Amino acid sequence: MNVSIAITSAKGRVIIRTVNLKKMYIKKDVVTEALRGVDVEILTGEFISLMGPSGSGKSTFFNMVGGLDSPTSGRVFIDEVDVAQLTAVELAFLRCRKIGYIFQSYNLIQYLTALENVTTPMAFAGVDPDEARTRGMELLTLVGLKERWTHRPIEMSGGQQQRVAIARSMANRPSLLLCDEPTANLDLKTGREILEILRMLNQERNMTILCATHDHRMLDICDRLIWIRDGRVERIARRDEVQIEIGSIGGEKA
Amino acid sequence: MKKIEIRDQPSLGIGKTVSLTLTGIRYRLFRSLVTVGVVAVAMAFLMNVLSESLVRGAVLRATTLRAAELHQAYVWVTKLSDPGMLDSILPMMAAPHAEAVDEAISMAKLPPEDRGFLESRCRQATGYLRFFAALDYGARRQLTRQAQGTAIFDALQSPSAQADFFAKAKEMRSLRLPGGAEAFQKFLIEWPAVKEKLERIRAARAAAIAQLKATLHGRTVMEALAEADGAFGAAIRAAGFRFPEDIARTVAGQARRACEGQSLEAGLLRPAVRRALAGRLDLTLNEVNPLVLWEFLKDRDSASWYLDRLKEAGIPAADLTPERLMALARVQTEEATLAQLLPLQADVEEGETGVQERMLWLILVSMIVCAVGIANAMLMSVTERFREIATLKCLGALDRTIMGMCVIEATILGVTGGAAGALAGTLLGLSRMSAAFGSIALSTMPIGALCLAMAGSVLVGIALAAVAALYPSFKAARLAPMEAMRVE
Repeated sequence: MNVSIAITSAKGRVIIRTVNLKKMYIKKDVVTEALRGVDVEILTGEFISLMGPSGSGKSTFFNMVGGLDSPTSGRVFIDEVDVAQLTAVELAFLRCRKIGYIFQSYNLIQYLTALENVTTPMAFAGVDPDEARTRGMELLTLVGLKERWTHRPIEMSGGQQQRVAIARSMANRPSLLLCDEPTANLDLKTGREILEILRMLNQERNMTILCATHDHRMLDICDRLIWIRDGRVERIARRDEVQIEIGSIGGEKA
Repeated sequence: MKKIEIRDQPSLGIGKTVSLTLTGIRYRLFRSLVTVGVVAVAMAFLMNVLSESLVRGAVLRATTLRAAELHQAYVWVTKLSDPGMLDSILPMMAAPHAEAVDEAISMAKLPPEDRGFLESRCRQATGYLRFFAALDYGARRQLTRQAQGTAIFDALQSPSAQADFFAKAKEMRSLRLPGGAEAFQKFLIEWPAVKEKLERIRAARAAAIAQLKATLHGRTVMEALAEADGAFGAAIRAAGFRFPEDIARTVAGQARRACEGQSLEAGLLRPAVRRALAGRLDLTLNEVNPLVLWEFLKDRDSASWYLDRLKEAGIPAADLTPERLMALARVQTEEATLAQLLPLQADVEEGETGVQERMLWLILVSMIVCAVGIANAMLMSVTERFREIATLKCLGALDRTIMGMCVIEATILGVTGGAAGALAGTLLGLSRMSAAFGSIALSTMPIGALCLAMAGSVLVGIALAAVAALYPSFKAARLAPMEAMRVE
């Protein structure tokens, strides 16, 4: 697909901005610096791949941006709102409606059916139950699981669970989708299906997606790549710049 | 694209929270059942201890009452043959039985206005006597020397002894005279008047007893009491005792039984009867005693056989019927059972539940065991769901929704476990007690108190479960989602 279209359609508005973001984990006397000052700007409608080896701070960055964890210092702005300034209740509002989360291990609620999993965030948002059901079914149809809405997570394959998780993340029409290695637990084929859904959400619904990943197929669909190493941004590049360098590796078709 | 604006998140409705929680419980049914089981076992233990002590208390109160009823004849024998001491009249005057006080006042021909004075002073006096009796030996020795009972008040009449007493009482810091030192001083001043009146009561009783003696005509008091519902009863009333008809009838019946029993037991003193009985029961002569006799007399054939033996020996009791003998045997065995139960009274004190200090301690310990067990179960069920809680928080659940879910779950488990445990514990306690005490345990069962205790322990179960779940859920709800996921 044409990258330039995606970027121009974003109209350059910044949705996420981090300023000198730092995070330290202190366990007993051992201090681990997971992030050592990250400054990143992400625009609306962008599909960003966050790459880096294990332990580089990818997940930490991801959690900071999603308001799932609090930074040691530095700031995260989501649409110019400082996340650190929010109260617990406002943070819940933010997580509920503005951000959708997709995890490596799906994190579905085990005792709820696929549809109930998708409608739970809507229940938290106070959406009318009937409307929530309709919308839930639409979303399940979108990810191709219309027939399996009564199934519980244990009755579904990993790919199906991840698709339910994607439907759930879209429940309250968020502005931002955060994916933490969404394909890492899946085989090649299923992983590709998931990526295809993400690509579709990005291009057809103009979702902003931030995706932490090891998966090189992500190169084909993302707009920009951010490499993180040792808690710092090592490099930021547009896809076309990268594909020229490693064209032979990214040879697989999206 | 729309701009992000941050508002307050609405909280999830109670109904939705409950249904979400219920779905969770149903999914984790086995885990939940284990938790319910822990709560139930703890509650069963608590309720078992409670119900047993309640039943035991009720049984013993009933037996004490029954024993008192059975022994009325003996009580009257004592009353009609001994005027009593000052120290035994004093508590009688302080007791809440108006009858006895009326009797004493009218017998001693005291003016009726003395009654209030006498009653209140006697109550005071018993209070002081109880206080002195409860002191440890050293303190009592210092305060009262050798004096005991009402003699203490007599000894303190002299001013020097009184001054000495109050000085010493002041030195003992922990000593608290009931009502304070001044009240006691005032009481001591009034004591001679009280004592004089009590002496008059005693003298009047002695006179009445002497008057009755004349009507005995060589019989023992017990034998005479067999006619308590007839001429002798009238004589008792004439002597000034309060002896209502209904009590007279009971006493007469009991006295008759006692006399008949004595004459039947007297048969055992005759070698011929004794030998015959020993032969029939296949016992040695030494083993034949009244208890064996009464056990033997329980069936009709044995009773008529024994009557024949008595007739042969020429004992006057032989004109009794076998039925009468059997009835006597029944009463005798009941008395024997009561006599066995009475020592158990040491376990019971006067408190509402009939629970003694040792029992209270046991209940306290069982409560602690309960609390720890329930807390552990709840802690586990919350901590193992940290990941789920974190996920729910990612989806926009408020802290209070999370806590609400945990507390609702704890409450549901607490209600179920508490009710099941309380029921099981009560049933177990009741069956144990009825095995120990027989039918008397069931007939005297304090149903109201038991229900109250059950309701109480169910509430305790719920409260313990809710409180135990509160802390870990509070912790889980307050953690940032990712920190909660990291705890595992």
